[in-house]
Amino acid sequence: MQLIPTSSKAIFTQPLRNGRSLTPYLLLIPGLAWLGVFFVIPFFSLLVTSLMKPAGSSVLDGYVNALEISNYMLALQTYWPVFAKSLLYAASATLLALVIGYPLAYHIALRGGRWRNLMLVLVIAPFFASYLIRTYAWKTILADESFITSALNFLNLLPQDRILNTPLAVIAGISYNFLPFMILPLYASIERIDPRLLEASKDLYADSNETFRKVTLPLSMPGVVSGTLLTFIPAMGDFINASLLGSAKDKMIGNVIQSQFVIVRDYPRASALSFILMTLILLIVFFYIRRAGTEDLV
Amino acid sequence: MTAAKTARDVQDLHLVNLTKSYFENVAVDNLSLTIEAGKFFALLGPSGCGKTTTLRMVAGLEEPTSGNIKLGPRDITNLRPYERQINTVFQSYALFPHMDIYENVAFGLRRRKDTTDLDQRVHDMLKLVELDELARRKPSQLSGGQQQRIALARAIINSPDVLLLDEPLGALDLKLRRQMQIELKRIQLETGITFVHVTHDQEEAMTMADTIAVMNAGRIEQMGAPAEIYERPRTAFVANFLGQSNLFEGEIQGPAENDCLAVKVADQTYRIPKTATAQTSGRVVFGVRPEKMTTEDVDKRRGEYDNFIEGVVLDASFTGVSVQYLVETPWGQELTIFERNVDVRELGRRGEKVDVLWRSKNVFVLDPGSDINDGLQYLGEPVVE
Repeated sequence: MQLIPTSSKAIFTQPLRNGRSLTPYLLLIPGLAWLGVFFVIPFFSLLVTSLMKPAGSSVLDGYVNALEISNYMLALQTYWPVFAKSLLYAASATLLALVIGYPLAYHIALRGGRWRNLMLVLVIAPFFASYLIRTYAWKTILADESFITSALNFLNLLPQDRILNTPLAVIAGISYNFLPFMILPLYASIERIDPRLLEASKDLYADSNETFRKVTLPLSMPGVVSGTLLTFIPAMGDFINASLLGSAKDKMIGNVIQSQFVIVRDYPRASALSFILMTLILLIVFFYIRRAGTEDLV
Repeated sequence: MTAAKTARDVQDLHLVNLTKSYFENVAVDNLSLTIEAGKFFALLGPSGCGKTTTLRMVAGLEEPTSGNIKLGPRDITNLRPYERQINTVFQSYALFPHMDIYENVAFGLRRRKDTTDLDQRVHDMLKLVELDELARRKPSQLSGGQQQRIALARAIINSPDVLLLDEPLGALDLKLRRQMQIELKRIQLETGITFVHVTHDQEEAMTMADTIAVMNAGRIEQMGAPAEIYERPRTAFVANFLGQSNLFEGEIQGPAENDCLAVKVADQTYRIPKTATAQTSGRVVFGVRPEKMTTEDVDKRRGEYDNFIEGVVLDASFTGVSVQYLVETPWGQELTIFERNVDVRELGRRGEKVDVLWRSKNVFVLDPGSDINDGLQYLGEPVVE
């Protein structure tokens, strides 16, 4: 270092240092550009649309820019029961996925042994078929004449004598479709738990039950939080399951938005509904994370 | 808590014919030993000798292939870990990261629903390990030494019959380790709990333990008080693993003066005390600790010692309190000598001829059939695994 004269050192290191400090920002550009074009611009365009009013008496006349806050009021007034129902379906489906997914993730992470990777592949295997195809398959599986329906009917377990076209089918479909999103984060957080902590717990007079409640479950909370969010958020806006597996009465808010956009072509109302849905989800997620207190977890 | 200790009489821990094998690998081989109540017991051995497996079987974390574990008259072999009055201080500490220090320490008492004066007891325990002011911190905010002490507090608050310590100081630096050794010994004396300490660090074992069991390949090589097994090792493994030794192999010639036996090594004759062995003839392996030998100019003080070897200095290293010599015997064996730096004098030079002198009363004799190289492979093994 001393061999290099101070002057030349300054000349050579200066641009190099600048270049180095720019690299992270350069690397951010593709992502930021993507977000700008496909999220920020549509976001504002949606916001503007949601405040438009009709240009004439017919839908075909199109819409003009305005500040129609009443679009939101009307949308809420008309559709709040659908929001409530969507919330109920999405929450039930998330809970069902958690109840099914946790034992599975626990088993793969702690008892999987050499089958662990195979089981993980099986968990994500449904992704190899398209979402739509899988849901159509459920239509067949849950059909009135299907084996499952007749078996459950034989046991008198179905109040409506059928599964398809009932809320149960919608919830089951959502649970099934988002189950891998529940299992993978759960698996990752359970797998990360130091097995010596479980030994320490048993050494300190906790039986298996208490070890699970006091050590395993609290330490897997990050997985529970991210798994439930990854299931709940898309489930809230889903419309495929409700339209294929549910009856007309079981429509979710996603179905309403879709039909307002595509069939009725009431763009302002559809946009307002989208915004209400987005706000609702953000609020729920915010309070959920505060409650779960993930920042306290390791 | 001392009151609770004296109220319940503490029981000896017995391991009876304990064996643990994994497929054809035998980790612990028909081990039998009794650990006296209220004592500081060390299981010392190189890594892979089965000492940790033994500890885990006592804790209930590993199931023995055969044999029994008894606490007093009670057989606890098949009890679950949480059903045993035994607690462990894990090598990794294994503190619960989602709980603060207070809750970590209170964990055992809460699980046993033993919550009378819980708050008082937790704080007393934290005071014992001198960390009361950190009660509301999370484990990750503590240093290694502090975590170590919390792991200890979390275990002994339950006043177990036996406390198991699995290399508890392994992750600490040298200075902290010395400090914790004294601390551990103090806490053991204060609580009166039986401590079973697993370690591969012979100095650590000797500093703290009342009794040391040296383990090798799943078996106990020798068991006894630290001074006893250091001064009278019975196997080459113990002689070489616990400190260093100069071992000789020779043929007993017959009785010699001063209650000694004459032993021929190469073409020289040495004296060993008759009391050190039951053998009166045949092949014998004996040894002398390096600090019990001294070097001197040739033929200068042979009269004061009853054994000498005229050797050649291979190396001399000055360490301040002592000088470590490496001397080659006429038959090509290398001897290590630690000479206390009592008088200022010139260091022996490489290639110089010297007398190596020792007294026969300092000689120990190994069991017949010992291989003098046994245990040498662990010399200079790093202290931290």
